[in-house]
Amino acid sequence: MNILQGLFFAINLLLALTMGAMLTVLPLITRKSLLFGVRIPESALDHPRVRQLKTRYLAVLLALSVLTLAAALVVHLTRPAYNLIASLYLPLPLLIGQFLTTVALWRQARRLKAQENWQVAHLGTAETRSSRARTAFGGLPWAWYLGSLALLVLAVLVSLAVYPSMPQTIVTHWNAAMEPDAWAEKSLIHVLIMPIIALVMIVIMLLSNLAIYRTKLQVSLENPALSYAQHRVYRLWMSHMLGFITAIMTIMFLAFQPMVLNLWVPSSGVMILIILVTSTLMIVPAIVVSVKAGQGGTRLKPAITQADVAAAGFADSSRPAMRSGRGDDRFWKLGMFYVNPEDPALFVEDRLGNNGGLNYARPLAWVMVVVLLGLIIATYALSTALLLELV
Amino acid sequence: MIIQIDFAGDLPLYSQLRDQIVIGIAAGLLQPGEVLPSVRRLAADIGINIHTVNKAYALLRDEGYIVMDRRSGAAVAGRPLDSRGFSEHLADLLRPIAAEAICHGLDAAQFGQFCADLHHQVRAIRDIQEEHP
Repeated sequence: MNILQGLFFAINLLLALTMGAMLTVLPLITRKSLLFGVRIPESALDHPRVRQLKTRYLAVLLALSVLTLAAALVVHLTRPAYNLIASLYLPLPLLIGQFLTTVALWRQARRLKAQENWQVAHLGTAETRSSRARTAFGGLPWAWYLGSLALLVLAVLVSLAVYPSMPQTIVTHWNAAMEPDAWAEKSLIHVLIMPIIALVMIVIMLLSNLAIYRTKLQVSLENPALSYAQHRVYRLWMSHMLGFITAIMTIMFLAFQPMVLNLWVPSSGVMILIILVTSTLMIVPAIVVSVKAGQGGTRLKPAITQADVAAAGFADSSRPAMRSGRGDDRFWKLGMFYVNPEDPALFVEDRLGNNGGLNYARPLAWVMVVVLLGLIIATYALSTALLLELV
Repeated sequence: MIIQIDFAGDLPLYSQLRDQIVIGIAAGLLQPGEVLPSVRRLAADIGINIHTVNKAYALLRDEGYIVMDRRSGAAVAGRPLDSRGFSEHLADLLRPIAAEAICHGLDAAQFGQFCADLHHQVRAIRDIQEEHP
């Protein structure tokens, strides 16, 4: 059991490091014109107060990450049996701390913008190409999804071939030391549950890949063709990242299929190794792509093709002049929740980091939040109850 | 093409949208027969009310720039525009602008040059498109 506790401690450290790093880099990968949810002009980027606010976020988040690491260490040294439960609750103070820090900095950024009387343009942009043409934008990496499906079909065929030769009573559950502790009558649904979950995950990943092609296009006034090229490359990178994660996730699920079929039971070490390697393979590309590409590809410097220029169109001189004003800040409550009853869009680009956001003026957004929160709370309650029993 | 709407601008939003699509057609960024985004999609992308886009599309349809179909949605008109009465329409549009130009001290040649330059600007984009299809 001690080896397991050590491994769970290692997982906690990895978790704290990954989450800390992901939250710390958020302002870095956000569009440059956004300062903690407040739209600022490009000319204000080098203002000492702007730099100061960013440095402050960095310092607070680094401190929070170190505290989380320390908390993981304290749990391991005093109550090692609680290591696994700690991995559920360690991220919570970090997330809450990050939220409060962002809100405090949003208030300061808002005050700074008013003091300096910074004016920005308030634009709405749209791509006229139809959704179908847009899906061809960069191309969906079908190979990842079809490859994952092929693996899945193979696993199902092998399972069906093995099924008749399986004994009537099969092992359905193993304890932490990988000793069988629950048995059941064999059934097709039990044998096929992993491939079914994997199939659902593949479909969800494919849908989120399609959603990337449906998010709003944000164009910089200075260089519309560059924005277009950045979006093109960004969508391509994101699609391949999601496709790769889908493949890894499928492999992870199917890796447990021999265990379900009672053909091979890995030791707990091997099992944790599988989970560690696959989750690293999923997290690392997500972080690398987010940091390298930035929000909407704004950190990329792609080669601008003739097609980008044609699609973005007009030289700046043939566009009407844009007026400056307060910008779109009033739609962003606390600098992070978009509420615009005029806008029929449900999904919008977030104001901090590389994630999607919701339009909270749409009732469906609230339904989604309630369902998601319900699922998270249920998962927490269930896992906590289960893990407390194990302790 | 990319449509840009200025929320802080003087012109109403539907009229900005209408103008952008007309410029897109003139510049060859929107080809005859090309399908335009659905009303809902375009409204969601720009972040404006659906009725605003409806109004712009209805205006463009009445002017003959686009055709609308219940099933396939809006598309750039494939047929040439009906140009009867266009001179009168253009005169009505330009008269107050010509008057403003006079008030600001522009002579006929300068005003003419200005119009010609704008005409060239939009034409030039079309020429680039045709050279690099």
